[in-house]
Amino acid sequence: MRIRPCLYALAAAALLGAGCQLDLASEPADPVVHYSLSPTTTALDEAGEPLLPLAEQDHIAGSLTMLFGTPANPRFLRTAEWVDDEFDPNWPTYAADDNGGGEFSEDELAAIKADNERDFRRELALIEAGRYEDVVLPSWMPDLRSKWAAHLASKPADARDAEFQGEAKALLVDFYPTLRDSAELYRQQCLHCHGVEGGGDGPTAPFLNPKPRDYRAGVFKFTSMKDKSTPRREDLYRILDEGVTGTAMPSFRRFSQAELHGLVDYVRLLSMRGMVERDLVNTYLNEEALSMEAVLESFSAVWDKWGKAAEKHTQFDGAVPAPSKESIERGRTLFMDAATGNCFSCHGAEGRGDGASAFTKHPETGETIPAYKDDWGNEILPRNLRQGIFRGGRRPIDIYYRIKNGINGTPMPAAVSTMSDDDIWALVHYVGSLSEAPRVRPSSHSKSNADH
Amino acid sequence: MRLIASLLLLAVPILGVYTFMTAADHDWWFPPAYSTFAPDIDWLFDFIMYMVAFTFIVTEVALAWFVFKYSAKRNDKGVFTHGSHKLEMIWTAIPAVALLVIAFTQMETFAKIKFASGFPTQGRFTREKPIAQVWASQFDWRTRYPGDDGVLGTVDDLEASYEFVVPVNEDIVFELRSRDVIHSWFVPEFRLKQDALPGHTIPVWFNATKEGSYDLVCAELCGWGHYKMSGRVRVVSAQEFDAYQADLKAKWFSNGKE
Amino acid sequence: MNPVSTPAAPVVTHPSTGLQPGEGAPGTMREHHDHHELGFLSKYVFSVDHKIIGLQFLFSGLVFLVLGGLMAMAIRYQLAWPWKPMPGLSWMFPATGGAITPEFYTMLFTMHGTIMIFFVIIPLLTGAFGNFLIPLMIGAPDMAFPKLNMFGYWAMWPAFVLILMGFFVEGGHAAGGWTSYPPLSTIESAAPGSLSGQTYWLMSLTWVGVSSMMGAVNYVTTIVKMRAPGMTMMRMPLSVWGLLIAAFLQLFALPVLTAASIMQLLDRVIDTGFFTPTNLIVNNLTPDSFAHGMPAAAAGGQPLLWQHLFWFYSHPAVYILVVPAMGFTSDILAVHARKPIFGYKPMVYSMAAIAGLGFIVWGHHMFTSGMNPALGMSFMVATIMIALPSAIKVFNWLGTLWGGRIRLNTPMLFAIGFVSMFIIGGLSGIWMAATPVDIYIHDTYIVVAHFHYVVFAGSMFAIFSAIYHWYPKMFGRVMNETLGKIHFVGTFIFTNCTFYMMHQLGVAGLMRRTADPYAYDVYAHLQPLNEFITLSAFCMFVWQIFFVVNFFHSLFWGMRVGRNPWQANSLEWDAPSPPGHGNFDAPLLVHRGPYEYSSPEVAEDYLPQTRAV
Repeated sequence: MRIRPCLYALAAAALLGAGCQLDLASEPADPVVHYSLSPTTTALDEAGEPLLPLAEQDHIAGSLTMLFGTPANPRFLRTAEWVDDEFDPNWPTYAADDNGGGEFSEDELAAIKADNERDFRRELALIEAGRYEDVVLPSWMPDLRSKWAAHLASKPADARDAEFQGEAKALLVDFYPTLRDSAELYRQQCLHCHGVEGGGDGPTAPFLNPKPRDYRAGVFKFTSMKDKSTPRREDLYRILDEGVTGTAMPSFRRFSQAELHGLVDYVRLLSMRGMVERDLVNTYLNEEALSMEAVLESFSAVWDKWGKAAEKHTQFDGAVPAPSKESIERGRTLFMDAATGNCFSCHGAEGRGDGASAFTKHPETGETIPAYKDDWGNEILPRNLRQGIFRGGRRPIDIYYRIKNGINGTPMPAAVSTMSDDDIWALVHYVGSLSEAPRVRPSSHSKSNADH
Repeated sequence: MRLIASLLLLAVPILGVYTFMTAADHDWWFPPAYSTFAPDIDWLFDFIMYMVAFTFIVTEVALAWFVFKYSAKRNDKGVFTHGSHKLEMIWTAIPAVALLVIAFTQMETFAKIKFASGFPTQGRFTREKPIAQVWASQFDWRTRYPGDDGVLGTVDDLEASYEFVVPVNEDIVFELRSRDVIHSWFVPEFRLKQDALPGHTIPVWFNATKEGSYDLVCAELCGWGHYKMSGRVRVVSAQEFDAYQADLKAKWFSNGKE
Repeated sequence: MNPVSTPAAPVVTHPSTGLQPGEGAPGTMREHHDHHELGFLSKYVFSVDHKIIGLQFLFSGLVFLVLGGLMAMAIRYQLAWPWKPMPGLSWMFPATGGAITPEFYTMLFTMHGTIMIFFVIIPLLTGAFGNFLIPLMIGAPDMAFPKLNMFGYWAMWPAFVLILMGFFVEGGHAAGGWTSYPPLSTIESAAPGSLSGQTYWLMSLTWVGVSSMMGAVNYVTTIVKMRAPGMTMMRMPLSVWGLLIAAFLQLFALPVLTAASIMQLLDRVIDTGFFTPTNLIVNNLTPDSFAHGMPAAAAGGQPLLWQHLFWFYSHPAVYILVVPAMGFTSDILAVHARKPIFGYKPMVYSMAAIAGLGFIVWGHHMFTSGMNPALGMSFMVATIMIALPSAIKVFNWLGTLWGGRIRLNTPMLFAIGFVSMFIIGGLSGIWMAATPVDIYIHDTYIVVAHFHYVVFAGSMFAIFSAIYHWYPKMFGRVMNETLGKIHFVGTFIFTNCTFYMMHQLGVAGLMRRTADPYAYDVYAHLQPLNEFITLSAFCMFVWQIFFVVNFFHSLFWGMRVGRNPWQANSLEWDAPSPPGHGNFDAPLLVHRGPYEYSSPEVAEDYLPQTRAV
């Protein structure tokens, strides 16, 4: 009478506990994600047949895995040529010039180290105090954590052993993430918008406007590059560091410089992977075959394209002129001039993004709809310049890049060749002044926080 | 059961006090106090805590003791009483006085932090001439410093993303604004929190006492990316602040050469 | 005075629990088939009987309790191990390998709060026990308006359906927090949950409001007009007082919330601008944007207006959550301590004072909101003074236990647990009330700790206690004592492990509602503490198995008992267990208050309200 229900309850509790399958003592395993092919690769033709034979799709997927690894172990394939050159593409940035890949200057390396010291200041203090066991390294650094665990395993009897302590500190101060570390950080912070493959199709993406960037085309909007080139590291780093104002992309500066550089490495890998995928699909559609040579050729072509990005950088050499009444007035004239600027046709006479050619009528319903789509197929409207939101940055040079080079992937064209730099700067000043129309400063009259 | 229940009840004050006393050893306590009013807030917190701890211990121990002492096994019959007017008066009057004392000790600090009369009027930055405007939006923080003309909201304003750099040991007044939804500006080390209300410009002041960089946290739910909305307040010396402003200006008018 | 004027039946009670086994057939009145036989549907589904309606509220509340609890577990899992595959839910998130998405997390805590407050605690306290106890305790045959009462329960069903439907709409359910601050909640592009989930949320809450309003009207009328002869207001058990005061709170505060949620609904569906300021740019869309065919919206609203209206209801709502619980605890403490409640009148006055002050303290949720700080001062003083009646109640409960003859059975244990943890929840409230301290701790985990101590450790413990205590009256059987005690010990330990540690998270500055705080330098070291809390919370959740098994087992195989198994005084124990239609089988005459335990007038240690001496 009194025992029976107790037994029931104990059995049920045991079942529930087992059902949860929770090993409560240890951390749960990381989720497993897989790269899939992009929807354009797996698309169907009009007859409902796959555009590419399924076997060929598998071939492409296999090739991509060979070249770029998996989300759990992302890495560039080290081709025979690179082995000969002693070049390791997986340490493209940090390993300085020893193996020919160094992209960081001494200053940048020093800045990364200094930032590591700031970022790990709590851990470094614990090491200093000999409290190694209390060091909790972030969950997005799996490789660093295993290195740390290995190092702790070799701990000498004397916890204050200077050499051991020094090595432990060096592990953190010299930290630069592997692609695997970065892939884990990407999974935690970026994936739910940008998707596993960087296709801009994560689960949160449908709710965002504008849509997250799809890296797979290798097209990035806010760069300093002309001719729709792939971006430099600096351009990608700037986006992570500054965020894209007016969008859901925040600044990620709360992560250390090393981590952000690592993310740039990983975004480059994803972007290259997408470009190679597109390349392979086109190659197959043109030639009805896909050889190993073609795969490697495509890989090195894409790699070279990224490597040579710096050549496409737009460099303005003079000093940035300060705005004046005259330059703003001149910018206004250019803005309204159909032959040179022609800005008003999209951005509207008042810069409100409501120009005549930005809209069209829906062929069936007759509703006013945006006239243009961007390269990713999303409807796009010209920027309302009066909001003061400049996604690529509000600095004069940023607006200069936008006008001079156009915006990659959008209908915003590059400036016509007849425009001089002075013309462009005048436009920059005018555009900058639109959102700063004289207004009464509200603060001194604000009643929101006063005690009357 | 009597023993188990009393021990359980007794464990509450014992472990409760113990965990609070040892919390600081695990770093599970206040972050360091780095603004002029942060120690005041900590003191007021501790003041309430000690008064509360006294009541907590007395009542919880009494509860455990009564459960132990007056169990059915040991008492034949309960005491027949409907209460005591005198006791009621005592335990109404004493807490009332204590609570009023608590309430009145809080007022000065609150007035100093939030009232218009508490705002600094001397020095470089005042409500009329704030150091910067801090803009919150989904999901980042941006700081706009006035440019050469010293006036905010003009074409030469300088904008910094993520970071808000202020000089140390100086009264800082800034304006808090939001572009979309409600956010909240919170720096744990300064013990300062203020919501950013869309449609309002809210002046905020503080005086940071130690150089360093501190996490700026959004403390009001602002959407799915609320946890991502971080910033940093960097406190530097007055010279470094001037250098920073010059550097910001140089970067602002940079021609893109890194 | 000579004791024993009426011969008392020989009483055989269990030595420690005081339980008295069955005396005669349970539910004697069931045999009275004077009136027509009711079919299953009209007896158990479309019932106008207050007891059945109470049980309907009880069962639906318990179902939602499981749902809300599971959400709490998901929240805790994410906080201990962010972005790991969510057990049981990973199939929903193939794109992330099973880890939840941030917008899902915001939905989880929004709906956890909403469900626990509006679909669990309020229905259980006022719906289930209010309905069941009020007529029985005041000696009435039923509620004043039985049909209104039935409609009150059935008005919950649109709310149930709408709140569940919201989970399946595009963008998921409301994700603006249970407080739903605009503009986050009013502008569709501001959050996935604001697409349409928020609309379902608002409609659902409006129905809850309708239901509570009908309940409140009924309770007040019944208590004022239908008391048995001799049952003066000051002879009512404190449970009835608690429920009466809660009903008044609902009567006066609920219309404000209903109006506010209709205003927010209008803001969302026909673009009025009560709460939306001008010139917002949210997720690239401005409310007055002409893009994408969006109609021009009138703006110029004020987000703070919602906060004022919402908290004008929701702060008193907090007392709706706790005042009846205080009443139940007072009754149960007196019964099982075999002592009159210490200071009956102060208890009544302090409950009324809590409720009265509850109307002028809503601003303490808004100390950092940008509201005029001068207002903060007056709200602070009023809020801190609420601690006074709360303290009086605690002292009186201690006074009740002092010198008692305490039976440590399960209802008593939970009632004592309530007192123990209400002390913590009440005392930590002083921090929140103090304006300068609140500048720091506002929206940190110390707030979470505080209201879980009041609402979970407080109200929920009182509900457990009440279920164990009045179960015999509801079903004619008692719940198993051994299981009940196991249930208490585990729940008490794990509740404290879970919520006490949250104070420390809060003092360390950890913000609530952050899906992944560990990327902040200031919070990175708090993960081990969060893991501990999560494990405690899991244990607490699993431990409730003992309650579930006990509840259903006892429903069928529990020990049968008679009318008054606890030897209690109040009127409900004069009715058969379970009471039939019309409740009482004999006319009642109330001679005294409900707390005459251990009275020297009689030999036994109890003296029912109806017994003439």
